[in-house]
This record gives sequence, structure tokens and C-alpha cells, in this order.
Amino acid sequence: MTRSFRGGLLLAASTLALMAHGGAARADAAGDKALAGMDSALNRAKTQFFEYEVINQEPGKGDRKLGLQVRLKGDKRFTEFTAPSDMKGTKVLIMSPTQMYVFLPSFGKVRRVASSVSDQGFMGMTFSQDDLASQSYGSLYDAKISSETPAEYKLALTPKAGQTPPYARIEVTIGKEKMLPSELKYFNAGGTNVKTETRTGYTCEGDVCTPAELKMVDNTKGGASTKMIRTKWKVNEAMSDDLFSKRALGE
Amino acid sequence: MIRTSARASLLALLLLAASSAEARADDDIKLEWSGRIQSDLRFRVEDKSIGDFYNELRLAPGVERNQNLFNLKLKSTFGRFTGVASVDFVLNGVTGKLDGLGDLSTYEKIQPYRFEPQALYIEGKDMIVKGLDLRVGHQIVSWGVADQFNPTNNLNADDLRDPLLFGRQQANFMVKLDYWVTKSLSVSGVLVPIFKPALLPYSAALGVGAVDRLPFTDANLRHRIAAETATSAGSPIGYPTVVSRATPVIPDPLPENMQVAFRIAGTIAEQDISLSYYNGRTDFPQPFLNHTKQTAGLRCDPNDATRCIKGVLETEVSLAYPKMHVYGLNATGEVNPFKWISEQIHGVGYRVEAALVVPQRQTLQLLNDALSVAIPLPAGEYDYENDGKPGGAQPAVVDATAFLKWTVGLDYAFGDHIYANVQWVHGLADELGAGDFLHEGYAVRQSSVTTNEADTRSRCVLSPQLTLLGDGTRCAREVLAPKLGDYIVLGVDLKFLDDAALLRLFTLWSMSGVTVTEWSESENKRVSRHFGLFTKEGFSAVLFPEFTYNFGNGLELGAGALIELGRDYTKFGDPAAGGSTVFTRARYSF
Repeated sequence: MTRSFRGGLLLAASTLALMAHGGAARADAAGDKALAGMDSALNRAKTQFFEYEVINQEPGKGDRKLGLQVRLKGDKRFTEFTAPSDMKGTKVLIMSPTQMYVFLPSFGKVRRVASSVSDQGFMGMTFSQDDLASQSYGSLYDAKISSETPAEYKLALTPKAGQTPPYARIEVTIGKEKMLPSELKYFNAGGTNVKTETRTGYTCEGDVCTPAELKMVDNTKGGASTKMIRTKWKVNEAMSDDLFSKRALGE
Repeated sequence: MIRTSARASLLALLLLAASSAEARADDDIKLEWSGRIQSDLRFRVEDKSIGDFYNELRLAPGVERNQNLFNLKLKSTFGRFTGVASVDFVLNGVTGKLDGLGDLSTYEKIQPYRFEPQALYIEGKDMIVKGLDLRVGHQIVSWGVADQFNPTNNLNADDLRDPLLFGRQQANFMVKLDYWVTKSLSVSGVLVPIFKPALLPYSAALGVGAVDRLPFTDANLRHRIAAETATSAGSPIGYPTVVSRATPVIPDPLPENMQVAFRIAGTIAEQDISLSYYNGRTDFPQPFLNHTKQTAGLRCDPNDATRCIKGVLETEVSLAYPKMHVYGLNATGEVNPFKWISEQIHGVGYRVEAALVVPQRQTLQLLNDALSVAIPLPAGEYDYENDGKPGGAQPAVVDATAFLKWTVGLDYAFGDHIYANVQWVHGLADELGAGDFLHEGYAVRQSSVTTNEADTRSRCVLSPQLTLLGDGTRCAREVLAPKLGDYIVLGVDLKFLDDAALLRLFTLWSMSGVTVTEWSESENKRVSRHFGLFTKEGFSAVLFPEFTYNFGNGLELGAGALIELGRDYTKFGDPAAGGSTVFTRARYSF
């Protein structure tokens, strides 16, 4: 019982993690336009393959490492854990926000996971499931340009009417050259900057650009942080739809 | 067996040949390996025993398990083809009984160990035609979607040796074919040439001490035998019945004993649904032959010299595995009845797993050597019909009546830290036969007589002319439970310390309670009283608290308890269930 239920929980967590990247909307037209530009730049690839080395750092504690392989095609995500060793071989398939599966190698069984599990964290990562899942902000947030330089926009994102996104406010810094975010500050309803995410080392394949490193600092946990270091990346390589199926999970 | 093995080898060779020919064009060969070292230390915290002084079986408090396990798993992938081997090496720290000084020179007697293959199979995808997958070898096929309680997982026998891993199954040799019609629709067929029985916890051996749990479906026969055994055990006869041996009889490896199963599975509107059919056997043994002999030998209770017996009626029980057909339904997905309240409320996960089981009727033949108890009985068969002639229609222990088992579950994660799981389980793995709120049928948890020895003899066993009365109606008292119990599983996980710490409490509650039936002098008939979950007579539950801390990088430490509650005749209070334990566990994965 223990291992199975645990597996379910881990699956949920990893599921959310797999959905990584996103979000935005309207308060001034220029802000919304900039946000739409960012969303477009974030979603240009037809398929992507990533390998990440994930490092959780907590002040006063040793690093904890995870390894992930992520395949993306449209809304579908297929993630496999390569580390730590007790998670190695665990696979997560997200067909849609409400259709998710996990394969637990110790059980040799594919398990359906409810979307509520996506609320849960995973292995102490400071990225929440929603942080990782967000790929498009414009549907959830209105944007207003709070400042602008020749190289950057700074946008203030607030929830659209009728939407209840995870954060009450996000401050995004967008590089004008690629229209990609370099920093996202997340605020709660009380106005506290609870987390800060930086995306650095962007490299491009054609018109698709992704950061070499993502880092999320949780300001509510004494500066605990998670770094996701991209170790491998392929863009628009052929990915059969069969890869995003329960068959590929091992059923 | 040899022919089956040869067939398997031939299939494996064909598959390998195919893979070597076709895989060259695919990816490079990949070899992955992983493993774990795990150490378990458990203590039984209560004394559990069954039987009287002449047949007592006991589980004493103390070290219940001191087990060290090393698992190594290898996986080789070459394009579309895969081979997997996984083996456990288990070192048991608890030394068994030694037979003599010679054992002191034998390592494996002092440090018992064993190897257990957990997986050994080869697999090919897109064999011959696109979408056709073949897996041959020692494997587990798990079609049930419920958590741990899976009435449609019948291809592999259960492995119940470790109660903390309830729901685990043992791998077996199979040939499995899956054809993926589309990405989300598949048809599967499985052949299992050799039947394997369930592996039981060693505490299950205490079950043979419960000679009062008469397995017959016919209540009148049970009452009669209860009265007769009470009479033979009592004064002045002094010959109680004991089980001296229980021998499982495994089906011969013949074609007619092979198991087959089929399944069609698909996804409709994001809900996963499958239908399955299994033709095979239950993996839990049922008695089909009792042979009783009389063995003289005066013995007295060491704690009460006035309680003596003159000997025992030794019964050897032979056990078989009745055939059965199982029609299965599995459905899982999520529903969101509360979305209208807030968009932030997620769907609730659900799992439905149901099995319609059509068992083969099994009867129990009762044979005896010549006995000299209440009256001399010649060697032969029991007079089932009490017509003065030995034999007759053998009584059933499993009726052919079809019955339903199911598990219905919901789960939900509340925010970052809490996960909850609830399941309604109708029929546990070891429960077989019709008997629930849909169709009356009971399992005897305890039987005895309410009358004194003289009254039992005169009212229920022997007439003044010393002929057998054959009617225990006025004497027998039984504690009954439905053959298929209803159980509620409630579980909660609490994660904290950045998900490194996990506090888990899972519980299992027997909702069926027990029913006591006995003769009422005032009403001049047998009467029944039901005792539900919330009575001390009917209460039975398992509490399973556990704390684990994951240090990262593969190391995890844990501790907890498995607390089994209820009287000895209840499902979980039963001494054969093993009693309550506390445990610690260290695991390092690499």
C-alpha cells in the first residue's frame, strides 16, 4: 500500500512539474501587446526535448539533485525521471490538464492521476506545479508596462476579471530582442514578493529560444532555491504521437 | 512442464532472432541498471495464539522480521526490443530451528538467504505488424485500476508474505500480446502455462489451528459437525479434532490447466475504461479432502492438570484451487462536481474495479479410519445425509453461484501537502464464494456449542439407542461473517519539510461486523444477533501509520506500525493475520 500510494503522490507532483512554463492580459494596450509577444515567443516550437539537471538548495543543507527528460508536443508532455535513483524510470504522461498518468517502475503499473495532485510540490522544488505548467500568461493576466528601456520591458501582470490564477501579481522583465522573460517576480494577495524566478543563458534553434538555466528563489523559505540546468535540448525533431500514449509509458 | 519450457524458450529465441535482425536499423543498444538495498526490522508487540493445549500455535512477541534485501535490475533496449531482469537477494536475519550440531557448520542454516526473480522477460514492439507488442517471460500483468485491492488482477498470484506490501503479486511466466488499434484503444491476450498459488504470510500457518471454522456452505451440516466434534472432544470421550497437516495440491501442468485472459481497453471522453475476461483458478486454497484418524495418547494441560485428553482425531486436509471465470470492468478518470464553486477546485480522481466471478463448485470429502469415539465408526466416508449409509452427496465449500467483487475509490490532493484516498472494497483477495448483501452466504469465524457435554450428546449427537441423531441445531453456536466482506479504506498523506518528510496514516475498517447464531430455548428456534463495526464484538480494523524521511540521492528511512484490531474471530484480529507489529526500514536506491 505504502509504495503505491506514495507513487501516486509523486506522480501527481511530477506531473505538474512536467507541464512547466507560462501566462498574461490587459490594462494597457501596449502592455497586452508585449505580453502577447512573449507568449508567442514561448510557444513557437512544435516539439521540444529537454534534459534537465535539477538542484534544490536550502541554506544550511546539502544539495538535492533530480534528473528529468521532458518531451513536449502541443499540450502533451512526457517526462521521465533519470535521478535520484529511487525515482529513476518513473514516467509521467500529461495528455491534458485532466488526463494524466504515471508509470511506477517498482510496480510496473500505469496509474491514472487526478489533476488535484498537480497542486502538490515535488521533492522540495521551489517551482510549484503551476509555475512549471505556465506557458501562456495572456489568458489569465492583464498586463501594464511599468517601465521600459531600449532593451527591456517591465510588465505588471494582474488577474483578468473572472480568472483566479495562482498569483495576485507578477512583475515580468522581458528582453525586447527575443521577447522572452528574464525575470519573474511573483506576489501574493498581501503584496509580498513570495518568489523570484530568473531565466538566463537563452540559446536559439531557429526562432525557438529557451533558457539554459531557470532558477526559482522562494523568499518565504529563507532563500531556498531550485535550479533547472538544461543539459540537452532538441527542437522540432520528429516525435510520433505514439510517444504520448499509455503504451509508451509501459502498459 | 518440459514441453512448456521448451515452447517458451523457442518463443524467446524467435523474438531474439527477430530483434537481432530488425533492430540494427534502430537506436544503439542501451543498457540500464539500477538497484536498491533495503533493511527491515520489525517487532511483534502482542502475543497471538490459537488452539488449545494439545494443538496450540503461537506467535510470540519479539523480532518478527529482520530482513536485508538487495535488488538488482538490468534493462537492455535495442530499438523496439527490450530485455528485463530483476532479482532480489534476501538475507533473513532470523535463524530458523536447528536440527543438530551439524547445522552450526552450515552458513545458510544460521544465515538463511534466498534469491527471488522479480522479472525476467523480453519484449518486442510493433512485431510483424505496427501496433502489435509481445512480451514473453516472468512478468506481472496488472490490469486493475484500484489501489492495492484488485479483484480483476487474477493472472498473477498474490504475494501476501509481507503485510506492509498488501496487494503485491508474484511474477509468473506468461506470453502477453497487445495490439494497439489506436493510440488509446488496445486489445490484449495473455497465456499463463503454469498455475502458481498465492504466497501466504507465515502467520497463515496458525489457520490450521482454527478447526472450528467449518468451511461447509450447508449450515445444518456445520451444526451437526460442531456438536459431534464437541462431543468427541469432551468428557468422557476426550478426543478433540486437530489438523495434523494441510497439503496444497497444485494443478498438473496440463493444457487444460493453463490460464488465459483477454482485455479490451480504451479511453472515452478522457475516461479510461476496460473490459476483461479471465479463465483460470483462484490462487487461495480450498479444502477438498479431509482424512481423519484416531491417535491415542493421554495428555493434560500443563496449566490445569484436571483438563486432559485421551488422544486426538488427527485430520489431514488436502487443498485445491477451484477454477473460475472472471469478467472484469475497470474505469478510472476524474470528475469535478465542485467546479461551479471555484475554478481552483480540481477534479476528484475515481477508480472503479469490478469482477463478476463464476467459480467452479468445490466439495469436501470426509474420510476416516476406523474410529472408536462416541460409538465405533468403521473406516470409510462420513454419512453426509445422516441416513445411516456412509457417503452421499459431498457437501460444498464453494458454491457455483456467481458473485461480485469490487473496489470503488476516490482520491484528492488538498493543496501542497495533503493527499486523501478513500475506497470501498467489497471482497478481499482471500474471500471466495457468494455471500453478501446481494446473496446470503456466510463464512464461519468461530463455532462451538452452547450446551454442556451431556446435553450436547443427548440432544444433538446420540439417541438413547446410540444411533447418531445428526442434528446440531439445538447445540451449535456460530460467529459468522459474510463470505464477501465490506471494507472501507481511509488514507491520508501529509508531506512537509519540503516534501522530504511524509507522514502517512492508512486505515482499513471491516464494515460487515459479525453475526452470532445459536439456539434460543425461549423462542424454540435458532436466533441471530448482528454486531456491527461499532460494537466490541464486531469491531475489526487495521491502522497503518508510517513516517518516512527522504534524504535525497536515494536514501530513505522510515518507521511505523501495523496495528491489527479486533477479537480473535474477526478478520483483522485473527491470529493468522499475524498480530500488530512496529517496524523500521532503511532503503538506499542506486
